[in-house]
Amino acid sequence: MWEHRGKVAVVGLGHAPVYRGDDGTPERSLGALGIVSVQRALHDAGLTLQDVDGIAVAAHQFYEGAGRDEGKYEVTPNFLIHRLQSQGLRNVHWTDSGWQVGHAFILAAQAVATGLCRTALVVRATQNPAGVRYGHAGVNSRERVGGPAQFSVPYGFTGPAAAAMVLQRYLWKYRQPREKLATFAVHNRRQGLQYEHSIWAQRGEVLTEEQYLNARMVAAPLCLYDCELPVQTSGAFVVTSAARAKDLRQAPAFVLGQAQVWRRPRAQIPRLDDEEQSVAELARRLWDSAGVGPPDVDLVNVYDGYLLYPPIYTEQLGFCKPGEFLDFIRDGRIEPDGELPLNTAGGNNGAGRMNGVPLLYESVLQLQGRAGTRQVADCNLAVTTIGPHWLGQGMVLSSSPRP
Amino acid sequence: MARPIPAPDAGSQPYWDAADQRRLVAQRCVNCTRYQHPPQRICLICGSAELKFVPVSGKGRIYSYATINDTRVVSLIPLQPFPAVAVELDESPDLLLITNLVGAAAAQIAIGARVEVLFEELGDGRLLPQFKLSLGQP
Repeated sequence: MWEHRGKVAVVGLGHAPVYRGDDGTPERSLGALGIVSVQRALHDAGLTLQDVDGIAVAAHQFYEGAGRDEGKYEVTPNFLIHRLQSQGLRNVHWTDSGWQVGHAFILAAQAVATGLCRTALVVRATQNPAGVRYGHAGVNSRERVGGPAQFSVPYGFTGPAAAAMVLQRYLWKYRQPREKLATFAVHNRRQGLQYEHSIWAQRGEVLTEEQYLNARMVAAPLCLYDCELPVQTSGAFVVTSAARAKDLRQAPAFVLGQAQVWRRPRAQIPRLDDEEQSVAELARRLWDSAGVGPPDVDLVNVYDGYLLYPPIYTEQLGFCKPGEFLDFIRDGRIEPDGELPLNTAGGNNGAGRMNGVPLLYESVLQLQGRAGTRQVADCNLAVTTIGPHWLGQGMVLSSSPRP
Repeated sequence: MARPIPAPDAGSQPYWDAADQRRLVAQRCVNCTRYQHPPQRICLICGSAELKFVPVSGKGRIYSYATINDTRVVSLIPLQPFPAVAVELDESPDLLLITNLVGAAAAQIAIGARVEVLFEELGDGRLLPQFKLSLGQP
């Protein structure tokens, strides 16, 4: 079990406005959105920058061809510290944790738990650059292509293609038709429409099963609605000790345990068996860290950048048998009032491409009783997983430090 | 614009040189004998830096596939939709090669189908490994 179980808590949440894309204006720059999300998170917690002595940012942005100016196209620790010093931030420990918010969260929670920091910010901003369709630039627009892309770009193998192949293998192995994903996509959209920080809620666009089944393919078997929509926004979390959390503005969401795996595929796509084993490994570590298991869980939020990911996460975490997810999700089982509430704000699929922020955000909101129409009754223990399977991060949070 | 042409680096040059001669090769670790693709500077299994490129038969089975309907590769947009396959080479399950599948109707593409390599001309004397179905073979 994690030696610091229950000693650290999430005490503040902050989110920038969600835009479909950058438009070149300063207000919509990724840096501005990052600052806004930080300011809102601290306000939510009832803290100020003077209280902050740790910053964990997932700073990496993937898009090809857009610039790397800090503050314009990236939110790095350097950018945040530089800007926030004028607003009261003093000395901080900091880290740049790649691109998934879970990595940043795990380090921040551990830093607070060990006393390296008293209060840490966790930040992830995601960009959709102006002037070019997401990803259609840089290495994907050149006559000659070097680096790792030399083995994929000549074949048109980009974006969701790898996930599509793993999903194809999953459907083949378990003899399931892709059409059953319609239930899940419709659920994600319906829940996302009730989530404040969703691009879909802004647009008020409902998704029906018929629309899903008639949708254009992106990389078959992944259709349009199996893929998260690129957006421009930022989310931030405030993490502090359980002792400090008592006196702050919101009900704390205590961290019971956390774990991650990093089993990078050696080939251009992971084998399905390896993906399942990666999550099984994550699950073992996570349940061991948190000292709980699937029967104790009130809420599941599993990564869904592509809808390949939730089936394997849910199955290997132990909530249903391998290959059964597409049947498990039927008959209202995963609704907020169902047997196992799952992705109750719709995840990335229901909110927009935010590299896991909606999942962790929703877990905290639910534990704090702030999930509005999505609220799960008696929601006291939530598991969140973020990232593709081979680099999965997992966190178990609870409304109680010792459930 | 035509299909993008691979720009080899020092590590991948032997792979592409062989392809230009219509030979498929794969990287194999001298120490632990495992294969890997794409080529790397070290063996990702045992860490050895002693690697060599060995000929492979160019035959395998479809491990999985996807139809590319919306590629990000700008010059290939006019060609879509087109199939992509992950081919497990006969030599080792470690070897999963991503290519397109040439000349196949969608209904013929199946996990487990036998395939064999061919080489597509890119211009400049450069060739690109591709796969096609080995019809009539079990």
